[in-house]
Amino acid sequence: MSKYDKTDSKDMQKQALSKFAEKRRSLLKTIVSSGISYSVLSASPLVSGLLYSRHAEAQDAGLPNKSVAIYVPGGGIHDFWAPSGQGDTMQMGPMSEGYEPVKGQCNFLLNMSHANAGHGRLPLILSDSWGGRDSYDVLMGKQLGALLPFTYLNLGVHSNGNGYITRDGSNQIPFQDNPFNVFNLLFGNNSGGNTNAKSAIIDAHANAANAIKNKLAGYEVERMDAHLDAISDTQRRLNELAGNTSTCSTAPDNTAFPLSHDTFSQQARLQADIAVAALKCNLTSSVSLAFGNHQSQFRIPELNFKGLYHQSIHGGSGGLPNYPYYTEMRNHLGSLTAYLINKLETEGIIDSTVVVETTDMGHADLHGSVDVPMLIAGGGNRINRAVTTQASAAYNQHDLLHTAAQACGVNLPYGKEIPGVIA
Amino acid sequence: MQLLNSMSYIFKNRQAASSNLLSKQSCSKGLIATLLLSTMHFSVNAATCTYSIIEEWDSGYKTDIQINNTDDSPIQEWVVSWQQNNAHSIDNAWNAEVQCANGDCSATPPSWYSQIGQGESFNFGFVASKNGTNSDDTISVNGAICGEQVSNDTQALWTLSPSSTIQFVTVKKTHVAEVGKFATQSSDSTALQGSINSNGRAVVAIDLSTVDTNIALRNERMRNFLFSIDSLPSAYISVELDTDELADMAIGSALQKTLEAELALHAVKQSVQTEVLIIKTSAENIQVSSVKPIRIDSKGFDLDYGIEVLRGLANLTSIGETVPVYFSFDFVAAPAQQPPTETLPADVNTPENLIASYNTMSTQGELVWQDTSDNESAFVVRRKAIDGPWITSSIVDENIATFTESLPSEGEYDYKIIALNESYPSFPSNVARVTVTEGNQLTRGQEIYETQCAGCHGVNGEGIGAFPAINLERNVEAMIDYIRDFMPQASPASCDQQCAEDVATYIQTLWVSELTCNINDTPVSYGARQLKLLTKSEYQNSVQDLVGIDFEVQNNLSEDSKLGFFTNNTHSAMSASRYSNFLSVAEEIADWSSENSYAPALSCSAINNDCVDQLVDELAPKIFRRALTEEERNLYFEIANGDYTDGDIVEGMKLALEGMLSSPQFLYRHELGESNASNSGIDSDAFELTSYEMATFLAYTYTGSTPDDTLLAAAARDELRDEATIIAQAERLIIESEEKMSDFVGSWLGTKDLALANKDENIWPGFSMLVDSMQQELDKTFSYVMLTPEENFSSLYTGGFTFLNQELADHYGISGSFGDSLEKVDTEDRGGILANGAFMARWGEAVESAPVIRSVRVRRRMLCQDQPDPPAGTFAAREQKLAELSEVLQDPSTTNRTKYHLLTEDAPCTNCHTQHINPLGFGMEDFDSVGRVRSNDLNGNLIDSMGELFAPDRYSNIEESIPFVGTQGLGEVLATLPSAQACLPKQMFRYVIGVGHSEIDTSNPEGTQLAEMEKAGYACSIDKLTDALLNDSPRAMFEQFGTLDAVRYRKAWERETNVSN
Repeated sequence: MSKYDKTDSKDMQKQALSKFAEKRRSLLKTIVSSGISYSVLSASPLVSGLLYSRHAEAQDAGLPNKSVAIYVPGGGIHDFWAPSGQGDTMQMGPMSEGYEPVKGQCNFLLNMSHANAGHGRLPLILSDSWGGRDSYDVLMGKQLGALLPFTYLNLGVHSNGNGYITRDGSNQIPFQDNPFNVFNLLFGNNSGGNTNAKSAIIDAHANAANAIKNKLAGYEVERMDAHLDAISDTQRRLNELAGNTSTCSTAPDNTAFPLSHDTFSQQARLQADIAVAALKCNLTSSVSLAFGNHQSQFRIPELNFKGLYHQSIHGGSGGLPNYPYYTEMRNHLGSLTAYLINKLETEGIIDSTVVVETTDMGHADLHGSVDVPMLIAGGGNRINRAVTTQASAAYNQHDLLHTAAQACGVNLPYGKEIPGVIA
Repeated sequence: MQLLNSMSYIFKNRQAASSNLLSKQSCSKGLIATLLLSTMHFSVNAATCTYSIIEEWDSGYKTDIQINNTDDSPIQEWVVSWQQNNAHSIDNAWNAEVQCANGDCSATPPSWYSQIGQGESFNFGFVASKNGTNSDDTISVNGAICGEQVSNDTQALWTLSPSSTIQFVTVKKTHVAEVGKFATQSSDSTALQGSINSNGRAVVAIDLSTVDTNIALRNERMRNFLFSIDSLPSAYISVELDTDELADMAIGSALQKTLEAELALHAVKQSVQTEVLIIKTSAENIQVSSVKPIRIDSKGFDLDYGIEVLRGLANLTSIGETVPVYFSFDFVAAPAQQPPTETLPADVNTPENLIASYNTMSTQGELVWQDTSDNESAFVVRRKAIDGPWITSSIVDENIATFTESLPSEGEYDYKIIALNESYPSFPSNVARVTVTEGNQLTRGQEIYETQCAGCHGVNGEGIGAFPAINLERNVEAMIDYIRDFMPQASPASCDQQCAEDVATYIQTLWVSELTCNINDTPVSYGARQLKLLTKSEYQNSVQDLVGIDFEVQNNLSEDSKLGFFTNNTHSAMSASRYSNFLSVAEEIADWSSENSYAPALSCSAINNDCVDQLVDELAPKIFRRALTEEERNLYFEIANGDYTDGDIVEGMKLALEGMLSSPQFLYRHELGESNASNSGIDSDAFELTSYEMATFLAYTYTGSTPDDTLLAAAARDELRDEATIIAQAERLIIESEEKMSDFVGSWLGTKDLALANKDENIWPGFSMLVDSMQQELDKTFSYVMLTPEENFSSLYTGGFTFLNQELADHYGISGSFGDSLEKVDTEDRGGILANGAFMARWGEAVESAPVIRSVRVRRRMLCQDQPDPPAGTFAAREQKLAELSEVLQDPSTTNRTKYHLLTEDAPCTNCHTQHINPLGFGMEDFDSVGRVRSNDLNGNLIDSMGELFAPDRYSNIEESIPFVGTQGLGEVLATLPSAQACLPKQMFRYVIGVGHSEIDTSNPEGTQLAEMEKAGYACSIDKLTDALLNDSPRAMFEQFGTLDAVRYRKAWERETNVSN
């Protein structure tokens, strides 16, 4: 092979690389370094669909800049879930005792409705649309931390492939159920070897993906674009990490344990630890975390009730009143949310993080669409905390997201603000 | 030469003209003039003006202007004014006094004029000289009567800013007032657009889809039921302003005026009076806001029917019929020469001579009218019962001037026709009346459905939000009863038997039925071009076969996607984290392989140039499952050869292998195909799988791994485009399909997650130790039937054998001596995939059986019927019911059967439970929660396993039912049931192809959809597979996949994605 040939093929790689979605990133970089605000940026047609307007003043005003969205399936029973009172004397219900340690950080939303209550409606938990549009976690990631190593993290605990809540454009993104994988991705040293050398194969991958893309039409092109995006994101991250791989010391303990159905809570806590560490270390600005799945096909063996969550809800509770099994399980799921909120507090980033906990229905034995338990937490002075907010049936899960986004200075293109939440 | 002259002349004139209308045309001077001065129609209020050039010559033209009085009173006085090129002069005018100054002309009645009577018209005209100029600018006609104009040289002086809003107040339940608005919410949609133009015309167009009342469902209903935005997306307000007055206003000054505006809304245009405050806030800004609200009378705009619909849907006692509307318009100065941002669509002539009659033979009303316009986009047909509101019967396409419909009930109906130019209406035609002697049930049902049902169930029965879809076939009798007793949810029992029958008749027309194969429509069934990302297990199997690793890497990869019951990466996208995981796994494998000197994949004596050659020339084509392109070869050679690692070949080879094992070529199962002009049997836009792609398909379908050497060799010889060769390869590979069969059945029946269905240790000690064996028992049973050539479909349900080891035999109470590994055993009380430990335990509770869940699993998974999830809020009195049942539920003599019967015995639970769910599930009560046959429950109660399979073939057909006793009895039924027979090929189709035969993702019913023709083809694939299954064997059916058209031939099908809003 001649010298000439060699140069030529490298040039072709470079060309291929410059063709792909790097465009988007470099545009962001250029504009940000020139001091133009995000709101101008969001108006740019080149990034339309990626970014909505985060108010220019949001950064200056020190608004929260991190987002956590937690999905707890199976709603809750209003009378057992709704806290009463406020501040230190706020009384939790039997289904919400788990939040007790962090109630000072929470705004409990009461009397909310659900626009799409029931099983099998996961695509509408973090989005108002069945397809084609970024879900809340992705959108917030692009808004708040487009330049961070990971645009978003979507973590799950035994989602078991029962549907998806995260969508990047039209692409459904499966939950990352394996915390050890996520740990390795975020805190492991996978930039081994020579970064420059690595870029040789990454360039080769970009070349190949472009070659495939050229054969395609229609919706499959979008998938290759996603592949090219993934390549460019990864390359950028590896370049940035080169030379300083472990700048953040809060990586959680990753001592191995089996990822079986029996370790549900342990997995949930490790995912929460990872989420908090990732936010604190500026590896991402947006995390979603799902406990279980919409079919409620999971169990928590350390509780008194040994069956599946689904069974705890339906089936008559062995003739006992007040849904003792459902109450126990739902309360435990809330305590996992509380664990994460508490961790954010311990790590000192709760004031800059807005947490939402959302669900798919109200009273699950009725598959109810009213009195849906939801909460919003953290956000420092931006959020009225240690209170309950009497919302109404006019507000639903999308309004929860809208309000949380608003608290971060992001204008979500659907939903409306729930009064009484933002201070 | 002459041509050239005129061409350059045109060019000059284009430059000169502010309008660009010319640019579409060319050629001759005469044509230009004719086009620009062609007939135009003007209208406002109660009169219309028609302006035409009736003759034209090089130096001048002759005009005719007609005023039509469409008001119900005579016109006594009028002024018509217009603008024209001020070089033109008027030589002679008739029937009017015409005066011009600087191109501004006006005409007033002649001395002898008295009035224009009601319905009469009046003509005047003039002859004008062009005085040597080219008349490529047109005349705008304004004035007290002829207010409307469309002009080519109009410019925007002011444009509406997006901050403008229109607000309206609605009153419900007599005294609850709410404010709604039309305002731009996001960059996606602009609510209001408009401008004030140089001719003084201000036009604001309202995008009605942006209506915002703070409640999403209400917005949706207003869009669909009030405004009908599908056919009438916009409303227009237009008004005459004095532009000079605006220009002359001092900055900071205000002006209050009463204006006569035209509002075009819902195919009605009317004059409305509005009092406005105009403030000039700066040289660049004018604010126009309402001082008093415009009161819109819904009746006047034919909106009263829609309001009644909304009232019914929202279950309100009343909704105010007059709506006060406030507006606040911000105008900013427009740049010079800017064309108006929103002009009214051109006027459209009023349809005339509507004649309506009733045809007693067809029992239909028949309409015919005269289409007087050449620019309409559609006609609106409105109908009203005597004393009723106007209802839109239909929207008829342009150039059609007849309409026929059935009418709901006997009586007299009035009709009128309105022509539309986009959303802009003509005046209504005359009203014509029919007398109906026979009503039509379907029409009645439709009317009731649209007013009472569509608000929750959707216009096409597709369901809205938590409200269930009703567009699938259901039992009609049950539906009528349900509607009569429970619908509408807000006021049950308000729809009587007749009403329910009417509605049910209409709902049946909304049913979407599954496509059946029509070989004439789809002689070849084309599949979709696909890129299937390797699943975790496919990756693991492939690298084991390619590189020889002896450890697990798949758990370090990102999660697979799941569609339906199956792992399915057909639509999965690469994300940054998924890619990073692939990179780090590939790195780990490359390190291991390097440490082992690339054995067993390569035979390198040392890491040297020879080894590099082997990697690139031998292993790489296996990894890519095809020959490398020259470019790929060069690239990976350079990497392996140390070009990027400072000449270090050891590092270089590692890097190259890492690159290959994380490359798109490896990670995607490539099923794109290529055009093949020499195959005359396929369409020109079809793609045929290459032999390499076919090798890949066969390998992953039958073995779950990468192609072996035999397949790659056949592909290299391009042999895999031939049916016989493909079948031969399928037959060779199917022997290795056991793992695939286990994966399929474990996903299909959910038994892969048997460990999830844990049992109460106190009652079922040691169950968890049996999980593996039970899963294997089912896997082996299924694989045996699927892969043994002599077996048949019915063995799946009535096999009379299973696979046992000692611990399973002990658990099931089967005597005999068995080993540790499972062996085939003939059985009497169990066997097949239903009467089986894994299935029954998977769908059992911690202590007791789970009859409801089992029943739904059988219907959905084994019969492929859609058993809907319970709709939201089905049974509000649940807690009260549980309290009532408390005692009996705790009574040890209450069986599981009785318990579930009692829990579901009240309407509306009964709707599904009484027939579809409970009798089917109760028939499987002879299996306990850990998969053992039982005759008594844990409390010693006798088991009753009498069962009945309702609606065996179609969900809607509950008239039919098949009684059975016990699980094996049910198995006997399923063994010969057509719906169960066709279900297996359907499930397997989804598993192998990656999309269902009729949908992509059952869990996202409104997500991306298959193309219609694609589905039609897949229906034929299912037929072909089912034929092979029944006429030959399950194995023959599985072998068929390689030769399916839908596999060999692909198209780039369009896929539709619904994005709401």
